[in-house]
Amino acid sequence: MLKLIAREICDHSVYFGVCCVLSAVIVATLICMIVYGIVGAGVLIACMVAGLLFLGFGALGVGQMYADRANRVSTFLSTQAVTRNRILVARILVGVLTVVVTLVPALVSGIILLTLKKPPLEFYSQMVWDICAVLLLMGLACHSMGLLVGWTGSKARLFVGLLCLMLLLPALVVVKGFGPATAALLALLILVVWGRVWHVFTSASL
Amino acid sequence: MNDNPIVIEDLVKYYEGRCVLDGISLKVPRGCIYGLLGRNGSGKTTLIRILLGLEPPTRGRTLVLGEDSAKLSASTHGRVGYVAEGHHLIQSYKVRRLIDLCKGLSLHWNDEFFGQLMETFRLPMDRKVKELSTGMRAQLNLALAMAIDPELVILDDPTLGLDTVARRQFLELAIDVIQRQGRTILFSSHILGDVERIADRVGVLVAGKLVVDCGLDELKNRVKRLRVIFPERTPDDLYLTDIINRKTQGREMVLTVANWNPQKQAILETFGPQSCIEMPMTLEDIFIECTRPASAAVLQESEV
Repeated sequence: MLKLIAREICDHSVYFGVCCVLSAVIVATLICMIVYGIVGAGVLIACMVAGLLFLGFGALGVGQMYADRANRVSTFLSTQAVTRNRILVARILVGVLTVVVTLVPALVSGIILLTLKKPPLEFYSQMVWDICAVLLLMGLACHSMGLLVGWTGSKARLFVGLLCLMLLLPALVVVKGFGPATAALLALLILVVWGRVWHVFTSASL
Repeated sequence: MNDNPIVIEDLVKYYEGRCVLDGISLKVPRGCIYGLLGRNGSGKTTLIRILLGLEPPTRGRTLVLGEDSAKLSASTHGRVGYVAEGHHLIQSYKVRRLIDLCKGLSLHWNDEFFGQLMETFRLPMDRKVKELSTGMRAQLNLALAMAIDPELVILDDPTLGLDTVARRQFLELAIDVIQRQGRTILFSSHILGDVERIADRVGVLVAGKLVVDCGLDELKNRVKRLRVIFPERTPDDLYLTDIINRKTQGREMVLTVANWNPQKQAILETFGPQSCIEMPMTLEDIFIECTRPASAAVLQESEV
């Protein structure tokens, strides 16, 4: 399993690197906001870069599946001492790892910033944790949906899938806000998408 | 230990509404070198892909080393060496990286044997797989498949695309490797000379049906081509069971018959032939006769 995870990381190190850079930009922006108190522009930049970061998670999922199908990587791996389930689990774990490694520093910076600017509200601490949970789950949802739309040989379907991904998740947060209900919906969405990816991947002709 | 590393039971596969495999049943005993023959598109590769769990069957089931192909465990995969048609491997990897990956994923890796093979092949380790020639890719694929000391080796048209010299080199090495280890081999090819050299049992696939499944020597003994000359003209009512092919010219008739036996010979003699000479048949001759559309039904009914 470790070998499969290492292979996934090496093969998709570009996506991982880009996500790390974007995360670093967010952290730097948040630090600037704390130190210099530039709130308006800082929030705008952080939001835009965060959008790109989430797109990066989706792109990682797409890259893992699309490159696999195009280069018949799983066809070869399936003839080694591994099963399709293990290949998929390694792929998901790499996604989770990327989301955690790149989002957690940005979230920690965000929490520090929000704690410093703490308004006199009772439910404020809970709200901060809800935002963090929703953002983490959004990252995982982007990656899992990337895995789902990436398993195709058609570039048109890939483009449409990515477009839907970009519209669906922000729309959910805009409509429902950063709350436990959104977190539950995202968690459900991730489970359903993982289930679908597992079904598609394990039953496909390789 | 399994007596039959490969078991196929009533296997049917439809692909885009077309029947690719039609009720195949087959057992490959342990230690056997089984040559799977068939023309292009006869279903050889599909059969092998189903065996390896790369393709789901429409109906029926296949067992590899006692496990259902659709649910092969990692440990069973690790006991099967596979050389794929076209030697796809992972094209974007360098040879060294691909070897490291396979070594890391394997359950057992025979470093000494792999080293010997690599020394023989002299493959450039720093080149990408896609930059290798077809022959080099075939060699790399064979070395990777053999390094895990597999119980079962599946070779899917491994010499496809190789020139005569490379094909001969590959086969000689494959024969050496196979005979040294006494493994069970399933070897698919449409180059009959290759199969004739190494197989001890053959199966012939015609349009998705397994029309022949027997020992190579048995096949050669049972399918006969006879040149029969009659004193006047050939009889119109000559009937024998299991006639695969019949050609008539004047007083001469050339018959290809499956399951040739003394009874059939006695029946033929009742037509009073002037002479009846057995003509030698190579595996290629037998294969060509077997793959005629009309002969497939005869061979299936007669269970060669």
